[in-house]
Amino acid sequence: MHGRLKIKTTAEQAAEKQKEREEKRKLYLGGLTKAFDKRSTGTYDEEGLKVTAQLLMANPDAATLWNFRREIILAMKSDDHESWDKLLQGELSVVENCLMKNHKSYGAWHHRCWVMENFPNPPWDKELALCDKYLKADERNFHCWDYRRFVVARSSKQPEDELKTSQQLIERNLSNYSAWHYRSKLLPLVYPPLPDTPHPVPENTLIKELQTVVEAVFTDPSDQSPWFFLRWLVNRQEKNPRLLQTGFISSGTKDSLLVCVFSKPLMQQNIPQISVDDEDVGNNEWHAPDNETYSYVWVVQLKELSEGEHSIAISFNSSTKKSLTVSPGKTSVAWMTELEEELTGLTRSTLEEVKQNCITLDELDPGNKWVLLTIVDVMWALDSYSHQAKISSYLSQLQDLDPLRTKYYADMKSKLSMETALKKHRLTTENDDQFKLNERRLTRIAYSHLLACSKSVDLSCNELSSIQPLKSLVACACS
Amino acid sequence: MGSHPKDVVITDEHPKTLLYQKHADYIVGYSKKKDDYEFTMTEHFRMSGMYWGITALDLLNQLDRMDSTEILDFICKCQDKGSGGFSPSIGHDAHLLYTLSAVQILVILEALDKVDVEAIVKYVAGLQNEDGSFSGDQWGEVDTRFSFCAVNTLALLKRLDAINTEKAVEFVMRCQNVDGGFGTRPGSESHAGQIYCCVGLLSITGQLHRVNGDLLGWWLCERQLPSGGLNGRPEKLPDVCYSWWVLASLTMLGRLHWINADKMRVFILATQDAETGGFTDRPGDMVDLYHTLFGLAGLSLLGESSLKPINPVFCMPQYVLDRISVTVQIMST
Ligand SMILES: [Zn+2]
Repeated sequence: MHGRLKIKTTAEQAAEKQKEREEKRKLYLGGLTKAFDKRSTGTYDEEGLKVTAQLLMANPDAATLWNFRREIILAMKSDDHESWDKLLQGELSVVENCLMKNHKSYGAWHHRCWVMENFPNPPWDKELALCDKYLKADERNFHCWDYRRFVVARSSKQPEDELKTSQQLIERNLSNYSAWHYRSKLLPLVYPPLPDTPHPVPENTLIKELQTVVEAVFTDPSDQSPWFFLRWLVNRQEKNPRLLQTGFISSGTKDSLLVCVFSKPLMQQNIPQISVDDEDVGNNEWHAPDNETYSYVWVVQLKELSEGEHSIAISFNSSTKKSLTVSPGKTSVAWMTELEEELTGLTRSTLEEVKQNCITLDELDPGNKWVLLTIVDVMWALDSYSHQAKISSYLSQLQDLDPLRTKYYADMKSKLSMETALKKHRLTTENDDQFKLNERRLTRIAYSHLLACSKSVDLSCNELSSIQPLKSLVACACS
Repeated sequence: MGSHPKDVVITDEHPKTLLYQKHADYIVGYSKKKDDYEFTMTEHFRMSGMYWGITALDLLNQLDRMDSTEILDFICKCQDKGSGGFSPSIGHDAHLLYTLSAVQILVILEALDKVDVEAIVKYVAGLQNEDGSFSGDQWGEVDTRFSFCAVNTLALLKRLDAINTEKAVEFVMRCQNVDGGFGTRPGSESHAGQIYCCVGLLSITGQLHRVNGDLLGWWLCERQLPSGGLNGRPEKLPDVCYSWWVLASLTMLGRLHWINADKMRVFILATQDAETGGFTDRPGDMVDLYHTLFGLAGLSLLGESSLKPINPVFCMPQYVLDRISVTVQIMST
């Protein structure tokens, strides 16, 4: 149903075509009736294989015919190694004939998997050669890629070998997105990431990959595929939720809320152990705004506190503990960790290099959106706060350059604006519960969870179309 | 930069307005040409073909032009007495793909009482594997499309309790890639159709928070090409069925505004065939029911007022889901 060009024909040609198709239809229907008859009478023979092979050549997606073939094959299975092997070999040829007709047939590729799993000694090497052949004909054929993964998982091929294969395919054609994708899957297998780092691979691998891909984009900056890969390497991947903020929102001894804000939504049962004056807050005492099961924000109403200082302690695990001192009637908000995970000095200097390279590339070849997007990402990853003006101006350039996605860039500007406002708010007026976000041309409220502890948020004079995220403003609601 | 070798050109020759009546006539006419070569060669997915046609006709407010007695009679004959699943056509084998299509039609026609619902539930639940994935049938092909078919079917039957949804979600998450998208199986490349299935499954099960909306939303809006059409993977040609997979996914992520709706509309309208009615994959190709539904469904998502509103997860008219009180999760931005 894809890519069938409609051709204008004369009445005569149309009649000719009609006749030809009518014959094909009769032939197909005749074969189908024969196959179904045999099946309904439990006749599993050579002729059944022959008929279904012909039908599948015409229509390799007719799944029931493949099912019938498998039933015949299983019925014919003998203990004799050689004849069983020969039968299965025959199936491989049938599949290949069908793939020649349609190399994207789900049914044909699946049948090949089934056959291979039935071989006493599967000829995996030959299958890898077949994959090479089909990927040469169409390097993006995801059926063949999936089959390759199936073969590799069962053969003696190691991820290291496949990483080399991905390298070769990339070298052959830089815009082979499938090969870059394969690389992104293999790298963490060959070079497992370290726990507690925001990167997908260890630092030295990350740096090496960054340098290689920058070289690739310099070769031809108009190829999209390497840029996707580069964006992945540049951006942090947060693995586990981190506690970002703890807020003690209190208007007196009888009215105090404890608010926890996390970097990712989590369930009630995964909230770290928190105690007030050495008394544990029970997990089930926490509730989320809107009663969501997964939430960035969790709140607990504290029971009456006496006047004076109280201590709140948070244990992330047996070794990491944090505590803060609060007093009823006095709201205090504490950041427990940075908004994003720290980069090491080495990664930082490599990203600086990538940034410089992309700025050079932008000077050499102005107006390449991928270059600008990468500069935005790298600056954002390095320090969004100090780069705010620059990132924002690159995003404006992107809006002009890529008008189809102008609203995406507008939303990213809003995210940046919010992120820098949060950082500024934190630097200057940490305990001020007034948060001004007015007149920022915001199109969305990103990081709305980080407004949870603010008693008053001024969002006037923006370009917002939805205030749904404001449901997390629990402190506003209580005062 | 700027050149898109893999795109199409839309000219003044291509339709610019919705050929509403022509499409309805094309769909009604299609089911009457049972002796056609094409009808014969599509028998192996007839049940889905019927779902495409019926849903499209319903969007066009002309569902009453279908012979529902004949349809229901056919569907009943396709329920496999042994397994409980549905086959695409009489004589063919049951499969999750056609079980979903059959259930969708039955829900639209309010006729679930005509079939053995408990047997369907048992069939679907029986296809869940240890790792949470689903096989399409007893022959073991695993695909995230089948996970979606299973969860979608059971949600419509209100029997999600019959499977391990937590494991189903875990499996889908194993199919996520570094670009934020999803593929067929763990390790497979991201593909817009597969993304629709996986995000749809997460929406039905209330697990959308597991997706990085900005990352995946960006990948999805990058599918739009200068012609306005959307492709399914980077550096591929645009195709009208992707207007559905991508637009529906973006809707679930609360980011439909990230693509240019006006240009998208122009592209979809250009894939209409003014002679025969119906939509094609790309301007100038042959029409089929599949692209006709997804063309109309895409226009409906973009707010085309002459069409009934469509639900982005189930790809069924919204009023049908309201009627059975099935809701979906939409990410807030
Ligand atoms: Zn298509």
